[in-house]
Amino acid sequence: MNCEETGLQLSEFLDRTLDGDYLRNLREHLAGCPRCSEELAGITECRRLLSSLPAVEPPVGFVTRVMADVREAAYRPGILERLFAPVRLKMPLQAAAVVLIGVLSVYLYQKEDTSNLPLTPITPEPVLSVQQESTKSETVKPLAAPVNSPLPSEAKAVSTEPAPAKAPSAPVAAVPKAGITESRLESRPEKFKSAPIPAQGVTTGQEGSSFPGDLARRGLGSPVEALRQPGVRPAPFAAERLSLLSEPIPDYELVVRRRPPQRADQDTSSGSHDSLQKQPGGVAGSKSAEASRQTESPSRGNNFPLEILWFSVPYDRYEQFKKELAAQAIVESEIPVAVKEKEASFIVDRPLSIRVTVLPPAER
Amino acid sequence: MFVEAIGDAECVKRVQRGDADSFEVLVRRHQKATFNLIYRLLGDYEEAAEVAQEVFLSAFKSIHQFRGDANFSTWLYRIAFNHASTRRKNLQLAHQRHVPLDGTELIGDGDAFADPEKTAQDRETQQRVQRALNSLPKDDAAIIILRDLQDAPYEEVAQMLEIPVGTVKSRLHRARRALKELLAPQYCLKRKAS
Repeated sequence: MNCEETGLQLSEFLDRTLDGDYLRNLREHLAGCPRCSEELAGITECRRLLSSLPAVEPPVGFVTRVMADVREAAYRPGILERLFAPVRLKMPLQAAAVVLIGVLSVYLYQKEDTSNLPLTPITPEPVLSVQQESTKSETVKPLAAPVNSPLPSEAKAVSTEPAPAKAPSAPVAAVPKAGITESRLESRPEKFKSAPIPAQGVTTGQEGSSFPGDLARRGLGSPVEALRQPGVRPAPFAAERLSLLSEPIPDYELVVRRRPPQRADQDTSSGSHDSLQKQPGGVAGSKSAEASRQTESPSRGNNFPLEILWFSVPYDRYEQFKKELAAQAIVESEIPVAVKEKEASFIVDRPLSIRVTVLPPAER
Repeated sequence: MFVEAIGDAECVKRVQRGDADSFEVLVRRHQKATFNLIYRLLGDYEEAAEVAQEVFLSAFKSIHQFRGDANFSTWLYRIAFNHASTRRKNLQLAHQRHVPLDGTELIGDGDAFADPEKTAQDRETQQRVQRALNSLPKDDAAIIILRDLQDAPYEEVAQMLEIPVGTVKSRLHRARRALKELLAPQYCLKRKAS
């Protein structure tokens, strides 16, 4: 064994991992080689110096700090949670709640609005005015429209066009000399009573014959039929008497009952059933008259629904109007509603507003 | 703790199953050896403490990769060696590597009743040895620390450094000779003094 071979075995000799022939040969070489012996002594001294290095203690609280880090890492959110960490789920939920509340509010508001409005467009019956004769001094004062009146289910869309020239069911002779304005509104169920109706300048092309509760065909309605003729134009309602929330207050309220029909053949004959048509006088003689008709609801039978008619009659023609009305129907009551509260002078200045409730014929 | 009797392998399994508290057993059991390895590699107590904390945290995070082929201590020392090597390189680049000042070496095993002159000599010797270790390449320093300071078997050193056992022996001899050259003035003076 030479010194080169001995060098690698010195560490193993010191670590006492050398055995057998290697250990014996090394010992023989070291005994005769001062150089290798000195190196062995130097390495041994180095090991002794190394072993003199003390084992240092970790800093106080080392385990606590390590475990704090470990627990923080153990419960650290995952990658997805960290990705969405800036956008906490709470915020989108709050935003979604706000948006949802807003959408619901708009929806409910619109729904409520829709429920408050009639299902069909408001279509008042034609408002017609007949030109007064030039010789007459009275002016036709507009009649307050029954703004809150129910509307017919078959009401047509509102049109600003005047009623087309249509052959009236009443003879021309029945046309009164004085201008008469008829405003006719057909009723709808109670639920639509609160719907306001813009009355100014409203008219319709559907006239007369399509109206189920046509007074002319029921044996009453001379003032109405007399106005249904070509050339009439819509008459504006009195703005000052319009009420958006309630019916106009009539000056007089009359309750009449239809006379029972005479015979079936008379009913079917054209125009002969209408007793008013045979009486060209009546209210037609008044200088100014306005009427509006409103059918509230069928009360007795299908042929004679309860109707409400509005008339505008000059003050001095009221008695004549009443007589004519009594000639066509049975006047059951007469109530001066607004007349009680107003001065006569004020009433004289304008036509009277008369509300006529037409009851079905009495059952036999 | 009552779990002190549990072996490393069982603790590792518990940690792998999600029981983070079981990791504390491993920390308490291996903190001193790991810290000393790091400290001797770095030669700086504060740096060693910081690196050791990182080592344990890193071990916890990657404990699911531990398959049990080697001892947990070997696996942990490997992590410690890698972290310390990185820090040592950074310190060398920053020229901050230095021998710890007075007091650091005597933490723990210091004898308060020893002769002050002898204590001063020992402290100087320790500083020289530490300085010599810091002068060695990191692999050589690690082999000497593991083998001569911590009495780790060749196999464990080989596993930790991922080199064959024969390579460990040759490197160990080379490192010892290098350290002898570095410490020759020290022990020559002592020999002359004696």
